[in-house]
Amino acid sequence: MFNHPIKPLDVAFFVLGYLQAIKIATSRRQSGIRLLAMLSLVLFFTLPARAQQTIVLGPLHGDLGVQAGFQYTDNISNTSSNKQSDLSLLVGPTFNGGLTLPVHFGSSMSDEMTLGAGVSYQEQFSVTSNYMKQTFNSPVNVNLMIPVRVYEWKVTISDSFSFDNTSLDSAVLAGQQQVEQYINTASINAERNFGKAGISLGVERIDKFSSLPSNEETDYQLSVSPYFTLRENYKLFWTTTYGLVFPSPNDPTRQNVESITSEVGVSGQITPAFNGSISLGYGLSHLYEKRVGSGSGIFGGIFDPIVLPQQNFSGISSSIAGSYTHPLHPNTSYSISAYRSPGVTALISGSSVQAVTGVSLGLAHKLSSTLTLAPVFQWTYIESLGISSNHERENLFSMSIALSRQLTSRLSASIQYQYVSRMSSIPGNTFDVTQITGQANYRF
Amino acid sequence: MHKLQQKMNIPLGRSIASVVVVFIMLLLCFTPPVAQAGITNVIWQATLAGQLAIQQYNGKLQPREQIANFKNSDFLAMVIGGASSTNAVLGVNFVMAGGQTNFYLSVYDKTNRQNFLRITTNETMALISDGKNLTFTIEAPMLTTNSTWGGGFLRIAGTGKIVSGVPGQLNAAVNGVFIDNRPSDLNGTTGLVIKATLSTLSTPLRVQPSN
Repeated sequence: MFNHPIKPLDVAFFVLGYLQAIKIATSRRQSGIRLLAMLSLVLFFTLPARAQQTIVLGPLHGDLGVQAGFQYTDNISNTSSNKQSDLSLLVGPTFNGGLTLPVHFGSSMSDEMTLGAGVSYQEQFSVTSNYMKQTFNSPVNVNLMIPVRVYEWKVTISDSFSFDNTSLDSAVLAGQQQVEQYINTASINAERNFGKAGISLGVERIDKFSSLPSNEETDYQLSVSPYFTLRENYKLFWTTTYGLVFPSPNDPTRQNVESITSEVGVSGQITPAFNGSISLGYGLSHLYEKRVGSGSGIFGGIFDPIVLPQQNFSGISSSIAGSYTHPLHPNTSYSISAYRSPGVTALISGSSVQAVTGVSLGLAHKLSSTLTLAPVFQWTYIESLGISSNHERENLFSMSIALSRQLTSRLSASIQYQYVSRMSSIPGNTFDVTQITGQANYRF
Repeated sequence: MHKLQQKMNIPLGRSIASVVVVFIMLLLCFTPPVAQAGITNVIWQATLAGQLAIQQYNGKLQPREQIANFKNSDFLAMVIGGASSTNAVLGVNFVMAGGQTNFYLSVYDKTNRQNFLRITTNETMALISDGKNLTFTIEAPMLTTNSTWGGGFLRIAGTGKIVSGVPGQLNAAVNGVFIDNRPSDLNGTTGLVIKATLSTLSTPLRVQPSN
C-alpha cells in the first residue's frame, strides 16, 4: 500500500480535497464535508514513502512534513452544562529543524551555538458544528543556545520561545474552549566545578502572554545551587531560588509576588534503573499590597480605595521526577513525577497564588518495534490562596492513552484518547471532557 | 518690442501694466505665507493630577488629616459623578473673541467630538506673551456638575507656547479647593488641592478656524 511511487495527481487531489471541503463547509453541506474529508484522509494514507532528502544546507537542517487527522470532543466548550460535542478535521504542514553553528566562545571547543525550531500550521474545520480555524499549532518553539567560557566558568546564554494552544488541561482549568499561551524564557546560567564540588548560578526572565489576562505575567528568578558529586552522574544539591512575579496590570485580581524557596536533594542516576531528581525544601511567598480601584466614598473614593492587602504564605516544597526502566524489560519505561509547592502562579484565575500538589505517572510500552502504547495518568490538586481569592479548591484528574505506529520510515500515525475531569468546590466549575485525536504525519 | 506692440495692436502702457501685474502675481506665488487663517477656538487634551487633602474625624472624634493622590481619571470620575469612559478626556478650551482670550476646563467626548460637561465658569485670566512663549495665571470657580460633586475653586499658573497664534503646550501648577456634597451639610466636605499639575498634549482635540 505504501510502496508505489508518488504521483503529482495524488498530492493535487489531497490539497484540493481539503480546500473544497473548507469551501463547502462554509456553505453548510455536511455530507459533502464528510465525503471529501474521508477521501482526503484515504489519499493521505496512500501517499508513498518516497525517499526525499531532509533539508541540509550547511548548518541549516530540518524536516518538512504534513499532518492530517481528526479530533472528537464530547464537550467542546469545556462547560458544566449544555455540553456540545464536536468532530473536526485537521490538516497542515509541519517543519522541525535548526541551525548549528560551529562558533566557539572563550575556550569552549565542545559546545556549539544552536538554534532549534519547530512549527506547524493547521487548518481545522468542524464537521458537526460548521466552523473553521486557521492557526499555528502546538508545538511552536524556537530555542537559541549560546555557550561561552569565561575563565573556569561555563556560561550558557539561552532564549526559548514556545506557543501552546492545544493543552486540554489548560483549557479545562480555564473553563475555555482553548487557551493560547506564548512563553518566552531568557536565561543565563553559569557553572563551575571545584573537583567533586561545584556551583551553578542562574538568572531567568519569563514572559507569559495569553489569551486570558489571568495567565499573563512576567517572572524573574535568581537561583544559586551548590552541589557535590557523590559518584559519577549522581550528585547532592542545594538550590535556593528567589523569584518575583509581576502579573498583567489588566488583571485586577492578582498582586505582585515575591518568593524564596530552598530545596535540598539528589539528582542523576539514583539507582541503576532509576534516573531523576528528588528534593525537599521550604518555600515562602509574599503578596504585595495592590490598589485595584477607587472606593465609593467622597471625592471618587480616592480616600477609601479598594486594596488587596499584603499577605504571606509558606509551606513545604518538594518534588520527585524520574524515569525507570527495568533492565530485563527494556521495552517498558516508566516516568513518575510528584510535586508540592506552596506558591505557584497563573494556574487558575481569581487568585494571585495557588498551592499545588500533583502526581503524574507515565508509561511507554513498545508493543512491537513500530508500535508504542503510552498511557499517562495525572492528578493535580490546586488550592486558591489569599484573602481576595475565591478560595476555590480543585481536583484535576487526567488520563490519556496514546497508540503510535511508525508505518514507514517517513510516515507515522497515532491515536490518542484523553479524559479530563475537573472537580471544583465552585459548582459551576465541575465538568469532564473526553477527547479522541487521530493524527498521521508524513515527513518529506 | 515696439514693433511687436504695433503688430499686435496692444498699447504700450497696457503692456507694461500687464507685465507688472504678472510679476506681482509671480512674486506672491513664490513668497512664503506670512499670515494664515486665524483660530477662534481650540480644545487641547489635558491631564490634571496631584494630591488632595481632607480632614476627617476618627471614632474618638479626633481630627485627622488625610492626603490621597488623584490621577486624571480620578478627577474625571469626580466631576462626571462615576467612572469615566476612555472616550471622556479633560479639555482645555481657549476661545479667542473680540481681542480677548478666554479659558475654561471641560470634559470632552472624543466619540462625539464635543464638550459634554463644563467644569469651570467665570474664569479670570491674565496672560503675557512675546508671540512665542507665554505665561499665564487663571482663577476659576468650578461648577456643580452632579449630586456629589459640589465644584470648588482652582488657581492655575504656568507657562506655554504660542502655537499657530493660540496658546498651547501648557504646563501649570494647580491648587485650590474641591467640594464633595457628601455629607449633605453646608458646602459639603472640603478637600484642598495641595499639589497638582495641569499639562496639555501636543495634538488638539478640536480646532475651529475663523471664517
